[in-house]
Amino acid sequence: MKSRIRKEVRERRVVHRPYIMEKDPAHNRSENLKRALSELKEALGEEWVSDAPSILCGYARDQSFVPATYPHIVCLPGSTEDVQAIYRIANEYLIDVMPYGTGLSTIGLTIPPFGGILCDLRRMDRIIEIDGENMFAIIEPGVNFLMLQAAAQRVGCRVLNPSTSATAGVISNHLFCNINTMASKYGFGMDSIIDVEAVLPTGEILTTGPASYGAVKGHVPGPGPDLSCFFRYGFGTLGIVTKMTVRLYPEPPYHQQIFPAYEEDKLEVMAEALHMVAQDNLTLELAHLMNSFYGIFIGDNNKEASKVAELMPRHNLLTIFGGATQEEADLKAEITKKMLEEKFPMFDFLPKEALLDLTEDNEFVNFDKWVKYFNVTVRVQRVRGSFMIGALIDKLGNMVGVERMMRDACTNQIGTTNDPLAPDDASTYLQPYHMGRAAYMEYDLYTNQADKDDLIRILIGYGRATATAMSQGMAIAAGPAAIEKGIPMLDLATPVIRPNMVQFLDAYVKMKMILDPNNISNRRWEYDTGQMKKIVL
Amino acid sequence: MKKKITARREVLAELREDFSLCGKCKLCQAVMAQQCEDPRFWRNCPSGTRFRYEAYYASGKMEIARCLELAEIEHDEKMKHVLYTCMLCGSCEDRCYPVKQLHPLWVIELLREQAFEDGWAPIERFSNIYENLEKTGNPYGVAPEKREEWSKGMGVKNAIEEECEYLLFVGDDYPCFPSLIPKIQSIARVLKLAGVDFGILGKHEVSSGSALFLIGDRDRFEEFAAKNIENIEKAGIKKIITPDPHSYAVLKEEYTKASDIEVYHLSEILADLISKETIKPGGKVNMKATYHDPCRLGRRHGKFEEPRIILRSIPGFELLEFPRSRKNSLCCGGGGSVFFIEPEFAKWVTKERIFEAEYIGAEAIITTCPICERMFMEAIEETQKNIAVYDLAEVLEKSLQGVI
Amino acid sequence: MNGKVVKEIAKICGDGNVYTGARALSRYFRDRLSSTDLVLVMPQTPEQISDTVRFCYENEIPVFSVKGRYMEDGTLPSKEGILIDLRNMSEIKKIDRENLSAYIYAGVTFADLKEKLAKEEMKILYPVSGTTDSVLRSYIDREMLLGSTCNRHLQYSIFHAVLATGEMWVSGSQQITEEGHADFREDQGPQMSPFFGASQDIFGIPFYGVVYTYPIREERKVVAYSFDNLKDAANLVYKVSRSEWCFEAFLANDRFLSVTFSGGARENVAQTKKKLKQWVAVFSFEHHRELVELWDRYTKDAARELGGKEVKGQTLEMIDKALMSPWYFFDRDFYRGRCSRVCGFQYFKNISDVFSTIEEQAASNGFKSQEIGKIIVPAYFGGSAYCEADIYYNPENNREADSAIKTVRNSYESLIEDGFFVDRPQGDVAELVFSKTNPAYVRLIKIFKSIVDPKGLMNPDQLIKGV
Ligand SMILES: Cc1cc2nc3c(=O)[nH]c(=O)nc-3n(C[C@H](O)[C@H](O)[C@H](O)COP(=O)(O)OP(=O)(O)OC[C@H]3O[C@@H](n4cnc5c(N)ncnc54)[C@H](O)[C@@H]3O)c2cc1C
Ligand code: SF4
Ligand code: SF4
Repeated sequence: MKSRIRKEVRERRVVHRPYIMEKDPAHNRSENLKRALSELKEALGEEWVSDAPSILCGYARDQSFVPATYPHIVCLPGSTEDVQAIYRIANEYLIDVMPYGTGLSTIGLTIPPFGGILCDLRRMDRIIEIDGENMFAIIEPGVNFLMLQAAAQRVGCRVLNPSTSATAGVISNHLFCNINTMASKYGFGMDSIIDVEAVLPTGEILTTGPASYGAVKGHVPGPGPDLSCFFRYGFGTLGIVTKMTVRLYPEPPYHQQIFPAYEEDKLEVMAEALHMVAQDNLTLELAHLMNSFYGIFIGDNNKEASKVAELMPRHNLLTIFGGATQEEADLKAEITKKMLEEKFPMFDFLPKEALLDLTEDNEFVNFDKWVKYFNVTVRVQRVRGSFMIGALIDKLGNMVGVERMMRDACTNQIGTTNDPLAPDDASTYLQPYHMGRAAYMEYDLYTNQADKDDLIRILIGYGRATATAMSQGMAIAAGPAAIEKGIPMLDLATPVIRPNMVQFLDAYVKMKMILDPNNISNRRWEYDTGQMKKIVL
Repeated sequence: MKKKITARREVLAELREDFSLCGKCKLCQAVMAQQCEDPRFWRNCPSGTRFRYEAYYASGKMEIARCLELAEIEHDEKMKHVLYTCMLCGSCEDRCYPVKQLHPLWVIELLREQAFEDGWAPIERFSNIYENLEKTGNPYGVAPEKREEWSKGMGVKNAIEEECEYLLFVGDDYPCFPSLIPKIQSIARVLKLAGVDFGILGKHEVSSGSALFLIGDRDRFEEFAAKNIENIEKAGIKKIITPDPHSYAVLKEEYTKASDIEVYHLSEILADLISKETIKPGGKVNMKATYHDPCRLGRRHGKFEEPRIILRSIPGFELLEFPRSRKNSLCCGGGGSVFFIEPEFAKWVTKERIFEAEYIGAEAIITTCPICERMFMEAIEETQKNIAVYDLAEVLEKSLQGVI
Repeated sequence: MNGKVVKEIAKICGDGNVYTGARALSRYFRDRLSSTDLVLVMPQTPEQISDTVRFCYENEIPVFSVKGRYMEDGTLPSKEGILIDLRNMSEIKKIDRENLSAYIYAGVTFADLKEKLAKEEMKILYPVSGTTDSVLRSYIDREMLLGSTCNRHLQYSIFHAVLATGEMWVSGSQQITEEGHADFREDQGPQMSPFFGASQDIFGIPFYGVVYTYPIREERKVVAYSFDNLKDAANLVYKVSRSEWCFEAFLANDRFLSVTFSGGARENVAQTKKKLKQWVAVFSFEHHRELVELWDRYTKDAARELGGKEVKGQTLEMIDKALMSPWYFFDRDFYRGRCSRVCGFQYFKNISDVFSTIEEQAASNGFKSQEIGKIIVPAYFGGSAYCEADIYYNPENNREADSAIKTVRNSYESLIEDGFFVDRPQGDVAELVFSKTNPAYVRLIKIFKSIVDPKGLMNPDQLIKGV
């Protein structure tokens, strides 16, 4: 039998690898790449450097719709010194460097726009220290949530756990995102970074916070100006974080839950309830989940997810209470339930048994593991393979009408009727921050990456929904400024549409130019022209 | 041309929906998150753990399939290494399928087959087993007559000559390695003690073809399968027991496409007999040991409970579980025919599994696969570890005979 | 300073808001002021600060800002320049009960805000050892708060600061959205706004911000337990914080409490001290009645196990009342004329080492250990402990003053050797800490400084000499 791999293409011997989009590049020139490759091999060891296309291709795409681009070289540094060596060599030969955490950002952040060296940090995977009594862990970039959460549980603590893949890097997630169901009580990524060690693009090592002078982890920023979050939303343009101390949080020995639910499609009511519970600040974990999200969260597989989604009421509050005794956890749950019953008589409270039934056959997420599931586990499970995440922040009160408008805008584009999208097409969840002072809204659209028509449909729908939200004053949750620099129209428009951004952007641009004189660390725009050579976002 | 079985084959391109829908979520690189209690044991993909590049994980191989199909890349040396250091342990598929409904393991298997079809499989590195297979009918080069030597004087029936209910399909490993011979003998004794009417093909049994199947050489595999089927049909037996999960997998998945046979793994038969109380393990076996799930039996065919039913029925036996057990079980290093060409890497994996057994304080590792047993014994010998390796049947036999 | 400059500034800010001469400045200094050439400016609007600063930038005039009630003479050595005091910007722009926030200018004091919030059934967290009565200043400077135990976030989300050029730095989500929308702390790119925290305003002067407020709960109860030894007391504080039962928690010795609770009357100190055991652990519980009862019971049980005696009566009332307002560091001056402190963070298990080190230094400089005020406040559920030791002395007595200074300096030196985390170093301590930090740390500060203040006119030398 003959190969059926793209027979016609193969016969014409067209092998097209999508990289090097620059004409006459100053960076990543082939003669330099060759030299860099051999020096890198010498520095890191032959085994940990490769330019084989079969290795490179694993880093050319992610689940986003960003077009594929291959790095020229992939490196697996094993230590901070290795990372320094990579920058040294990259500076010498003018080669771009792209740090890679897990490549899970849903927007193609780790796809190297012009190739160069991709620095996969997962070989640096030590938990250097974990201290349950003083509640911190010092970790390397290859440490993921699965690992750290298991380690934290053993010392009576937990890590702020996003509902992304369990294998997501903790450092990279804290540098980008960290939206978690404990954010109402404990905060989000920035609140949990105690200090970092980073290699600046010049190869210089920066340590911040207590690590800057070998002090104990004081759980407060300093000394003086707080530099520890400098790399958050820096997208690797300012250097590579090689160690981070993350805060751990106390894990109470006892838990309790209640399951407030509301069948009517009125998000505003649920948002109000969410707000009330957030301000009461008794829950360990708190979020609003639409039925489809519930399905995704507690079904073992897609079939079960659909089953759960069908059976669950439209809107639900996820609540988990903790206590030093069962009495304490129960009391917190009881008080919250009473409060909700008084204010929202129309709510149902699902009996535990119902959930028990629902999850009875689940192998991994049965009810016994319910609490463990939310606090220990993160996972990715979407109904149709691929999806677009809308990540927005605003006050809960402002979000309500907007969500409806977004769904309408989206439906007009991608739906067939004017009804809001069915839950297996789109789903929303709300996640309060800091006792409900602000909240995160995730708005997901599911799609099939392999189906181009579906993809375009979803992309446009997503765009319209997001534009609607932004026109209502909502902020994008992913601090995108550092990567917008150089996008021609946006560059021009910024002073007009976002005057408050000017100083910040200007400082960022100058910072970048000083810290990375050769523009090698995630090069996105050119220093001389200020423009992107290729629109990368 | 030699005779072959003729079953439908899939080709890689048919799995386009799988490899192009891989969401790069990387769940396939770890154990099931809810079941990870110990951070030391979160990893579960042997090749990814050792070689670390994305390509060595299932997600990377999905990408290789996609890029080959898009003709973005062509095969290179590294690709061969990537493809042939995969243990085909299926941990990736077990993580991915329930949530994403994708089949990374299948994609990898078909990639190997594609490598054969397209003529770039590293066949030269397997020349030894090809020679052996050619000469002796098994990949280890043991003469056919020697295959039945273990059964001498045990009163085991010759299935071709005598009538029996079951055929005991011994597989390639048990009869070819002196260290495994006591184990197959114990298996035969246990079956006899249990009153199972069985016979063997003896020197007429050729390789199940599992090794060829795993490396992607379907054509040659089908030749061997055809030969065995011919003999099975000659013996006129419909029910087959095999103690070898590798044989079990190909017999059950492939042979049955061409022949009307029922295939059982030894543990299924024994567990059934114990449940029905046909046999009652009565002797105490004071042992604190852990059970290793062979990938082909456990993850591939879901036989997690049967071996445990047997072990739990034995008085005095304390069953410890690996931190990575059942669906999360780590490959022993013997999967995917990798040990033929990358023995050092294979042994590295075995050592990790032995470390895990020591970590939980097991005195012995019990399993029910000759390759697992061999890998463990060799590595233990090399490292001088104080840990024993038993076949499931050996432990049961001790109890049945009341041996302490 | 040149009269023309003063006139120009007066034109911007209005005559009544610009002052010259040592007398005008003396309120910022406890010591007699050596001659100074600073012009005091008290702008009333953002435009006035911005225009004043821009004017100074164009004319290369250094700009200093008032950072606390008092400045140490010497940190502003008779420099030429202007000194900006934002006390006149005292508008509370908005109180948002729904989102537990107050939108305030830098001149808003704890007292002002407390009063306004009470009407809306809200409150704020107070500093343990505050140096300023400006709420925004205190929060952006990250002063340790009573209540940092179980309320873990920084207490502000957004701030606006004026840069050396007169341009505005806006932090967090307001970089892209209108006020009243997200008002979320995070910058829209690399997090550079946190650089402004505890920076001695070398990058810019924060003048407006959104601070966090808290609802007044159904029930509040304050309890205290006294102990003879630090270890048991510290164990109780750790346990209660770690279990998240309390809203506020602290542990202080008799000297600290007697000074803090004597209402500024020296004659009361000795009497108050007599009523106290050596260590007192204090907790407040806030929430629904049933929960407060439960937490109170659990704490009582834990205290009993550790040998703590419940503090009741007047003393408890005093503590309860004291927790309703900020505690200012300068309020401790009354006792002996002046108070100096050593403060920073250590793990709970090492607290006693911290105090023994300080006591050793104090003893070698002639201070008795029972004369040192000590307070410990857990940070983040007991993840670490804020430790402060106060040395009370008579500033008129040169020898004593020298000894106090020496005690503080030597204590820091040896504590820092042992990993004591000094989060907000100032003056000599800053020099010491920054000489120990990794060089890139200071380099990064310098780079950012050179970007936002290329002429180096904003609070020069205030954080690190030469920056
Ligand atoms: C299905 C799904 C659900 C998700 N749900 C959530 C959720 O609930 N909550 C949440 O917080 N997130 C969620 N995410 C987002 C995702 O988990 C984050 O984007 C992710 O953790 C960051 O990606 P990463 O860890 O793979 O880092 P990468 O994508 O590898 O890197 C992110 C960026 O940081 C840079 N970078 C990485 N490592 C370093 C380093 N060491 N030093 C400097 N720069 C570095 C990279 O260059 C890149 O620009 C979800 C994602 C998916 C796919
Ligand atoms: S193979 Fe499956 S589990 Fe692995 S990354 Fe792809 S979609 Fe995820
Ligand atoms: S089959 Fe096993 S070794 Fe191969 S990719 Fe999957 S998990 Fe890794």
